[in-house]
Order: sequence, then structure tokens, then C-alpha cells
Amino acid sequence: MLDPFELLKTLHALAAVDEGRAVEVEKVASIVGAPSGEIEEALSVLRRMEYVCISGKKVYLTEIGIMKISSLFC
Amino acid sequence: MGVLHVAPELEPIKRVGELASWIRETVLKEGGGSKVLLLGYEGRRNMDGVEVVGGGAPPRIPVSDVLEEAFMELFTTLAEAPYRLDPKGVEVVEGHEWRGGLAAYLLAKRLEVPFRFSIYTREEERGGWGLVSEAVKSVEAFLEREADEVVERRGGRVSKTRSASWKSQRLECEVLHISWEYPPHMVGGLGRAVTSVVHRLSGMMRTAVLTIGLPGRVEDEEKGSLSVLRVDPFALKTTGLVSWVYAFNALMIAKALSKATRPRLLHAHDWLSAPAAVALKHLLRVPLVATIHATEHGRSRGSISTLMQQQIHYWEWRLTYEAWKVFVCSESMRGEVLAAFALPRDKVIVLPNGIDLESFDAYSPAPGERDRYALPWEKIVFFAGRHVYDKGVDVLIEAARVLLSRRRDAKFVVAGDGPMRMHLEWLTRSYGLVDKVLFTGRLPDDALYRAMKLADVVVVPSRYEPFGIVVLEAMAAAKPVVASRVGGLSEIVVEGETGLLVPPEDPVALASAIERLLDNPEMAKEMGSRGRRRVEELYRWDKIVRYMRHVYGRVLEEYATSGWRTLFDSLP
Repeated sequence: MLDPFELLKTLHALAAVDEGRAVEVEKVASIVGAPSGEIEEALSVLRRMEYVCISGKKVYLTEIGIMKISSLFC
Repeated sequence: MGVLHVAPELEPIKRVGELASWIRETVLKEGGGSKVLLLGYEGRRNMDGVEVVGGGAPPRIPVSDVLEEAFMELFTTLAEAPYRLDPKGVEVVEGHEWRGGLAAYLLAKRLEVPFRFSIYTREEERGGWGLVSEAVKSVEAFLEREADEVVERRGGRVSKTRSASWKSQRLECEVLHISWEYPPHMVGGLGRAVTSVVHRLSGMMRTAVLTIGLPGRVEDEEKGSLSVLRVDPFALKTTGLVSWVYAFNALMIAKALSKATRPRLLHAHDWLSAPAAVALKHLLRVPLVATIHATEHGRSRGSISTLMQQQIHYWEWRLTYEAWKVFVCSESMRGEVLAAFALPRDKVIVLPNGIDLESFDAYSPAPGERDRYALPWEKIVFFAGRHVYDKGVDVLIEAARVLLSRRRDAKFVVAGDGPMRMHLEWLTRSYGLVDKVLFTGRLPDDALYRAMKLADVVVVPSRYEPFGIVVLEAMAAAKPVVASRVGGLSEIVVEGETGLLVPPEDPVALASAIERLLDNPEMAKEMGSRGRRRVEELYRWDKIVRYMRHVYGRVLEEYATSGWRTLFDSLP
């Protein structure tokens, strides 16, 4: 099972941080190298935690998601 | 025309691929007056009448990918160029490919001349894939946007020119703080400390902060004698957390240079702003002081093993090495920094964090606000902090299990967020404590202060804690504290007077100490009052910032007699 946190880090690296910079879920899946079922499962966990926003076929980090990544460094 | 070529490779001196010959051809075609700054090269030589100056070899720190490598090379070049490169006669800085482009873009800003970006093969044409490729494409696009002229060298085509707009109004300030945390990007104690310091300092001297914003909130600000310069930390795509930090540091350098900032002193906070601080120190010849809020050495208990840890440790060392003086927040941190970086003892100054009592006192819980956290008969045991291993939140959940097995009148309120959040919530569910442990998520400062004032006991169960600003907040709220006997906590909490200290990672001892305070409300109240008095006497920001300013003065006096010079001194 894909660690949702790894997905979060990938979105962060891709600078998918607002609607204008959202990336297609399919593209994220190809970069992470995980089946789309696992990606969707991980995304639904992240959406429940309010770390990501899904808009159509695209996804981006919310401010809470960005801050969660930043908290790794302290 | 005096062109300074910034090249990642150059035939026959440094060859990685065909690019080396193409760049040589371009440089020689340009003719007289040109010179080359060759990235990652230590030497200096003449190539068919063209002077080639090395940008310096980057430190031998292992990196994860080509992006991290390129940024290490970039920061090395920026710190070395002022000692290797005579800027006289340079009228244009030309960056070859994205690696040369990054350094050329920043040097052009320092030299206040136009930036030309030369492309030979785009990443798109190379057919790359994955995060590295995405990042390189975004760097190329960024440089194309920022360049005054873009030249497609293999097609001989100039795809863009614009009138030079590189000169800007000078931003005057005496001290420039460089910090990755400042509102709205507030992560932990560092951000609160920097915010309080710069606000106080700006009442005494013209102060600026160079920082990062959040999406939609990256505007600069002027507030009286305080200037806030923000960059968009997501202007470039990256490959991971370390290259993200490097990318926003490069953008911070660009921002400071484009604002023509000429502070008398730089003050950097932690490794996250070290690459920008070190580069600006040398590019502008300005003394640097640093505050080390925490170290990777401390966080990892001395085990620096992963590539990320090695890079963090390197930049922490480099920052302390380059700094005139290093502030740390506790005696325990002083020992840690001296041991980890082998610094001279007189370089490290202990200056505790403080608290802004006026702001803190301004917040009072609203009627009924307590009901959000606990039932009327429940006593509130409060924790606030990031949900990371070092903070020991898992130890607190274990202590909750121990305590709640003996009594049910306690409610554990856990404020904050972090990587361990999901695990902690799972732990709470599996112990059947869902109704007794409330995870509030991240609270803004006003809500946090109000919640803290509703607590019966504040708990700080950290495994590693350089200072522990939350203890000051608890003391300001006149609350008794139960804290681990680690780092700065054992210096701030006076055992038996303002709170109780327990061994770290001991949930039984933690539960007993909490219970002792819950069972003795008079003693708890008295400890809270003594804590408040201690904060008022020792931890007021205005006293602390006055001393910081005194240290700045000493550094500037030493600098004035230092004889430090660079080849860039003739630049404005």
C-alpha cells in the first residue's frame, strides 16, 4: 500500500499548491509508479485529513498539507 | 562587449558531454573582452586568449540527484565569485544551459547588468522523465521568464529580448533577518521567535526580513521601519525536501539582490536559510550572525547518516563557521553546538527566547469556550506542539492510558499537527481513549493562547527540546508545567517551584506528575503564579532584543577593523 505521506511529498515537489498549479492524478501516478487504485486510496486519506484538494482530474496541496510537510524540518 | 559566460562545462577543461564543445565555440565567437566563470572548477587558466576562472569546487557532501548537485555548485560559486572574479568591464552575464543560467541570473543581479540565457538542448528534447526532469523544465521556464535575452544557440535564434529592467530602488535597512518562518509561513517556535525579535528590533533600527510566503500570500510588506521581503517557495519544481530548501534559498538571494538591499548586518536562522545567508554575506561583504534554534545532530541523537541529514549538518556547520557570532537559546544548546561543530567557545552566545506578554495577555477565553474542549467536570491536560517524534506526543498518549486507567476526570487536549498525527490518532483509538483525548489540529496563536488559559496542567513530554517556548507560554498563562528533564526545559522549569520535571520517555512518571498536580490544585496554582513571575523577570523580549542589538554593535566594531575585502567591493 502506498504511504499517503509519500504522495504528499510528491505533490510538494511538483509545486502543486493551488488550483492553478494542480497536477493530473494520472501524472502523479506515473511519477510515483503506483497503480491508480492505490493512488486514489491514498488521496482519499489525504483529502479526509484536509491535506489535499481534488478538483476534477487534478489534485493540489492545501495550506494545511503544505504546513504538514514544512513541519518535517523542525 | 564584455560578456561574462557562466558555464557548467567547457572544452577542454571540464567535459561532461557535447555541451562543453558548444560552449567553447560560443565563447570564442564572442571575441575579446569575454571571460568565463566555470562552475565546479578550482583553477584559473587562459583558453585561446579568454580568461577562465573557476567557480570553486563544491563541498564533498553526497547529494541525492542532479538538482541538489546543481544547487550546491551554485551556492559555492556565489560565495567564491567575489574572491575570484574581477567584475570590471562585465556588461552582460550569459548563463549556458540551466545550471549556468541559475548562477548567471544571480550574478547579473549583483553586478546590475543584463542576464542572457543560452539554451542548447531543452529538457523537453532530451525526453527526460520523473521529478528531476519536471524540476529542470521548471528551472528552464523560470530562467526564460527572467532573462533579458534568450538565445537558442543551436538554431542561432534570439527568442526574446527586453529592455533591461535590472536596476531597482535601493532598500535601506541596518539588519536583514533571513528566516524560512515568518507569517504566514509559521511552523514552530522559530517563526514565533523571529517574529517577536524583528518587531522589537524594528523599533530600534531599520529592519528587514527575507522569508517565504504561502500560495496567494507572497507580497512584500512595509510596516513602519520593518520591510518584509517574501518569495514564492513554489516558483520552481523540485525533487524533494532538500532541493526545495535550496530552490527557495536561491530565490531569496535573487529577491535580496533585486531589491538592491545593502544591510550593515545579516542575521540568519537555522540551516534552512544558510545557503542564502552565506552567499549574500560574500556577495555583499556584510558580516553575518546566526541563531541556531536546533541541530540535526541533536534531533538525531548524534547519528548523521542519511543524505538529507548529511546536507543539513553541513549547512548548519557552514552557517556557524561563517557567522561572526552564533546565538543559541539555552546552555544545553550551547553544549550541543560546541560539540557538533567544534566552534570556539567565545563565538557562541546564550540568548533565551522570550515571550510577548502584552500580546499573550490580550487573549482571554470566551464564555463557553471551555465546552469545546472538555466536559465541566473534566480537568484539562494540555499539550501544544508539532506531532513529531522529538516532541514525545506518543509518550503523552501512553501516560494518558496509565492515568485514565486510575481516574476518568482528566481530558487530554492535544493541539498541533505533524507527520505522526495519523499514528497518534490510531494509538488513541486502539487504547479506547477517543472520548478522552482530543486532537484539535493546528490552532492559530489566538486560539492556542485562549486554550492554554483553560488548562489545568500543561505538559511538555519532549525527547529533544533546545528551548521549549510552549513552557514560557504556559508560565505566562500562570499554569503549572510537567516537562521532560531534557535540553532547555530543565533550565526554564524550576523543579518543584514552577512545575515538575520527569525523565523523558517515561509515561508512568509523566502520569504520576500530572496526577500530583491535578490532586493538588493549590500547589498547582502556586506553581503557576511563580512561573508567571519568572517569565516577567527573565523572558521579556524587549530585554532580550536589547542584548542582541548590543552584540550586533560589537560585531560591527570588529568588522570595521577586519580588513576583509573582495573583488566586488567596487560595485554599488
